[in-house]
Amino acid sequence: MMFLYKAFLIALLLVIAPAVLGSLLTDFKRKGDGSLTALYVKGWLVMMAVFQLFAIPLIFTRADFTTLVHAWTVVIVLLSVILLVRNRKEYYKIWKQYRYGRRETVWPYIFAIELIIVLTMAMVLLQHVDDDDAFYVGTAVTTLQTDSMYEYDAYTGDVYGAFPARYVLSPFPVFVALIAKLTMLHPTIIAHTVLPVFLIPLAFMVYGLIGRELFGENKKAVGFFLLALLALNLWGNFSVYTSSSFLLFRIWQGKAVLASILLPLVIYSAGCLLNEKGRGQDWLMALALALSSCMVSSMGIFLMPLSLGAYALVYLVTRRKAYVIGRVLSCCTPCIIYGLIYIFAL
Amino acid sequence: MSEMVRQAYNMFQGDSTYLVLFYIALLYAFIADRKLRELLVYPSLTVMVIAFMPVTAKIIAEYIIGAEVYWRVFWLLPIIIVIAYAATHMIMSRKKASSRSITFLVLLLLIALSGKFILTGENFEMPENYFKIPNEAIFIAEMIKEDKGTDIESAAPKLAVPYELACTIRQYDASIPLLFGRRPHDSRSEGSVEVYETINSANPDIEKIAEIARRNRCGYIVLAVSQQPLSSPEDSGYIEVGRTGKYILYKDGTLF
Repeated sequence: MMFLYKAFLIALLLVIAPAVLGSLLTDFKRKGDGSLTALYVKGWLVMMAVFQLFAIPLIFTRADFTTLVHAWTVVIVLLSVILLVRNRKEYYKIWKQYRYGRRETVWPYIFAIELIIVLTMAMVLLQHVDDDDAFYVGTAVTTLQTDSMYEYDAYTGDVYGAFPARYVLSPFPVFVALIAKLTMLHPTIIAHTVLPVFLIPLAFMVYGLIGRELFGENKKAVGFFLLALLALNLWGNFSVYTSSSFLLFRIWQGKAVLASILLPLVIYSAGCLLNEKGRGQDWLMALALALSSCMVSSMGIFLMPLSLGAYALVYLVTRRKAYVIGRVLSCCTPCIIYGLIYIFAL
Repeated sequence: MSEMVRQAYNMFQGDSTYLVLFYIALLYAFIADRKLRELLVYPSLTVMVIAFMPVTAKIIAEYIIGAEVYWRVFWLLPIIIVIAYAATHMIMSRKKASSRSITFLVLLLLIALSGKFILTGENFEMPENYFKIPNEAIFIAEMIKEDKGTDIESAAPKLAVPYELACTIRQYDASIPLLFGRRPHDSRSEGSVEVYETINSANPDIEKIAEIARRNRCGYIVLAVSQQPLSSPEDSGYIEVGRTGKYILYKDGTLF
């Protein structure tokens, strides 16, 4: 019975919540924007961005971890309820489409989805030992057991003299601890066994969104695109430094989420944002992407502006429109702020 | 290209030809679809210029991410996205379903030959538990929890362990303080590096361990069953608490 209850909590937090929260960044009137895939991907961005907004001030004011959990949960629940009520007609349409809509049998697409499921199951059933978990998973366990955030060294349990500069601005392990607290599971089980179930498919959903940007509504092409990406990831262990290695070896670590999910998502986000018809939701999505990147890894604080900046430079040259610089600078504001804190205050 | 960038690039690409496939795919994408140049080709080229140009590379390495992890800049290159795009475009340009399938299989073979398969016994193993950490870490942690009385809890709560347990035991139970973790040089306990080196050797120096451990309120040590200490732990006042398949847990009998 307890197992079912925990499974329900996991589904609520990691499936339903993102699917609802994604509507904050969605323009349902725009074609392709209201797909479940897009909603789910954007929903994760909302969860991580909201977490980052609360976590940093609470960490620096040395608040309890429980305070962060309560604050984040209240906001997420309120936001979810408001969005569900506001967009109830859209969700009803989506439900009707999936329940009663005509389905095309497009073999590459279906084959790709089946293989993604098999790959995810393999990653859940198998184990890869990574010594970096001593810090990242150790931090999640330390956070939950001491009800504090970055007060104790994850390696030894000693009290930190000062905040660990490289890690304190990117509290992804604290997010793992939050999921553990809300689902009543041990953080190490969340990291090693639960998160891969959601994050590996999330990476492929991002690829799917990119595939739609590249090939439009051609499901066959998107199917082949996903199959190619499956193959490229499965044979991508030519060094331990590739995004494929990070995706399949240690997706529960923040830098793996950055390399395999958030940086590729820039392609999708930049395409929307830098288009002349880019709208408020596109700007919000890029902002959420920047916040999420900062949250998952200190590399994100610096790499995300580099990535978005490269797109801005290209669009500035090809379209000769100055607005792109302004849009990208605005979205990268969190990165600039955290970067300045990192350089001057830590 | 500076030496630092070359090293980082070589580390990143390993022995494969994936990056060669990427450059070919980039050229293909440039020719195949003008509309996608802005989305795929030009940003990739911009990142490559930033990453390889000595001036920008130096700024990024020295002031932003650090030279030792410069290879992470290459995460900005959408390598597998571009290769997958080119492969898909090639497949979809075939008119017949049979030629599409053949093209798909040929490209799959090319990808397999260019890369390195990830699902091997070298990279993965069957887990021993839901935590996916060695059972030994759990057994040792549970033994300590069962053994700890108030005296040793307040007087000498720390534990000194071999490397494998230093990386895993606090993933199970963070209430167990360690004399040193994965990186002994970062530990605040004096003498951690010396204890780390000897406790991970084939012949640990128990007297040295005991002397440093007692200075640092470290009441428990773990040795591997396969190790042959220079002297018996019992001669230094240690009492065996229990053992697992691979390890023996001792507590310092002089502390209570």
